[in-house]
Amino acid sequence: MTDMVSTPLADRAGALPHPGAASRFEAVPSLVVGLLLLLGVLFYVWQHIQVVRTGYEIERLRQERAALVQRNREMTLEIGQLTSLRRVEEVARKRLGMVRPGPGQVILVP
Amino acid sequence: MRSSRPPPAPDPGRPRILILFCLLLGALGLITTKLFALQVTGHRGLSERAHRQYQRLVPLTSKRGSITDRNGRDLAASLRVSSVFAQPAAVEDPARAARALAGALGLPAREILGKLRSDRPFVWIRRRVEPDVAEAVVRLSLRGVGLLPESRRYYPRQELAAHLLGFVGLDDRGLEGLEFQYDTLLGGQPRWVTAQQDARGRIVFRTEEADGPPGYDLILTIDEVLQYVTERELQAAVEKSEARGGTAIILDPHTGEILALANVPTFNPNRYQEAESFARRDRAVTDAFEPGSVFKVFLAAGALEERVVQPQDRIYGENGAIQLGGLTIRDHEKYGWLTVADVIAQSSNVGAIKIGLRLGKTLYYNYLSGFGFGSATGVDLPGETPGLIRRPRHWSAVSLGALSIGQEVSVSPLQVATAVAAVANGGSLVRPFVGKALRSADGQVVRETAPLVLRRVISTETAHRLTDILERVVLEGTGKAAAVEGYAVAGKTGTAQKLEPATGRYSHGKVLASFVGFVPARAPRLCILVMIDEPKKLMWGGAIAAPTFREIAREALLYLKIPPAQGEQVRLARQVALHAARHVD
Repeated sequence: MTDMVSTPLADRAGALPHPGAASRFEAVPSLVVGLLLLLGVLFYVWQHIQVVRTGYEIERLRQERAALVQRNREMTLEIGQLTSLRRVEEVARKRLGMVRPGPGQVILVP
Repeated sequence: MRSSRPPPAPDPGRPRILILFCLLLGALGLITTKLFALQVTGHRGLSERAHRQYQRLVPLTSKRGSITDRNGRDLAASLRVSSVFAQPAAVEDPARAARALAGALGLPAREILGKLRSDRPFVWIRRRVEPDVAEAVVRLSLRGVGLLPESRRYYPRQELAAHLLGFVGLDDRGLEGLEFQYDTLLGGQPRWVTAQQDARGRIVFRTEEADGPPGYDLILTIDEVLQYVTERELQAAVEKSEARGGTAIILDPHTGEILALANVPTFNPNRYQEAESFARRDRAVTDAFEPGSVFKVFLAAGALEERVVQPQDRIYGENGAIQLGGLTIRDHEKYGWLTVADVIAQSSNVGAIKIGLRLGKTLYYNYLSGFGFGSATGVDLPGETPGLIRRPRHWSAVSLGALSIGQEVSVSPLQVATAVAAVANGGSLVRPFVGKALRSADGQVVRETAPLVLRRVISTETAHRLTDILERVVLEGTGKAAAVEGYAVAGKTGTAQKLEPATGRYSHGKVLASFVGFVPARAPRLCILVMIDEPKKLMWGGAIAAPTFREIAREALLYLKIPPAQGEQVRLARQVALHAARHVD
């Protein structure tokens, strides 16, 4: 598209040098139209690229989110495993030397 | 002057131009024909092919709902994991691919190669692999080998409430327990959606979320702490008595909510394949036993309700033996005169048979049916046994006597607990249940189970009179070991001889030792049943099941902050004050 516009300009400047004002501005409308077309095409391509790029980004973020949700679930389950009463009692008895209160050692205050 | 111009010489290039023109025309014709073929005649097929290339079906795995206890503590939850699959036809070099996969998956290369050379279009190489293994497979970039997301069930509390929870199979469907019972509600709806992909197979656009619609979360009536205490004490009792197994249940007698349910031996649902079927079965619900003397509770309930006896009526104990249809039935002691209350408190077989004879076949059968024996309780657990109780017309000469002492009838532990709960709550039979509510992923409760009173079995007055008698069992009868300091306990012991399947006779060495009761006796909050199956030591209900009841009850009462009886509270407060005063001096 750029070549189509620039070739007549080059011709006019070199082979047909008419210094008159009319001939100098003769190519302006087609130049503007060509430029606008070019811009339109470039905008279309840019937009398309942006959409595709955003699509990749959304997919990447989606996967990242899924991985984080997954990690969160894993850690919640790990907490569940570590706070199981069997384990807590074992740690309390063996590591901390705690004992269960005997009858009468706990009094409920209403 | 005429100017003469020579006729133009024939252009030597003209035929060549013509030929070129024809060639171009022919080429244009060919292109047009091809274009017509592509754009018009082959349009449908080609556009479908293109569609397939830039669109791809993506499976949306739906998260299986979690199971929590009544306080929201996770008992079962799902994690997303990857499974490795292959499309054998698309694998370029099966031998090389098998070697590479063997290294990543830790499987024998020969086994993988066999799958890669399969005629089937799709084969699983390994399901539910760890995340690092999945990453290693992705890095291999093998053509025809891929990963599919699947769900894996985890039970973070390991063995806790294993029989209630059950487990799920490889296809994420429930196989036993609540996982099976609530399978359709817990499991989501797996779906496939279309996504656009680029030339390298990367997803560009997807209109749906990453997951399919998840299943509902199930909230149980179970309390994790009560469940743990029950399991721990039951395990200790089974070990102490060298028993084959045991069952314990805690019920809320007013609502029928199952607060704890335990069986020993148990299993880890994370590795359910390693457990024997006996250990996996929820025997509290699926198995039926002859209950023995705990059945005297229901005999007394019927007899008191029908006023065929009064608690203070005297019955002669026949010095511990009675003839019934040619059989001699003995007591564990030679009793003389006993009151009806003593018959229950001392668990006299002779006295119970005499009460049964006064009540009669039909009435006794009606009361037993009323208490729910012979029909399923309707609990939301799979495989429930209705037990077996024959109709009176099929009873033999000894049946009424045998039934009075809990023989010739089979009942499940849950049926016994539910029936005793009816006595505890003032005479109404309630349906036991374990699924308290269903909650959607956004936290909304979509279904809640309301307590259901099935029927009134005995009057409140009879229930209170029976409670008095059951208190005596613990205060001065066979259940003294069930007494909890500071609380009034009502209950009944049972020691049932088991039938030998080979001989059809009652075994002397194999018994079912049990205790069932409720606490506090006057305002019951907990109905607890303990059954120890085939203890080799401490073979009486009062010797092994009653103390286990006491231990469970004591911790449960403290945990639930149920205060002791009024007088007891004052005594304990005085003790504390005295101790403090001594400390100050």
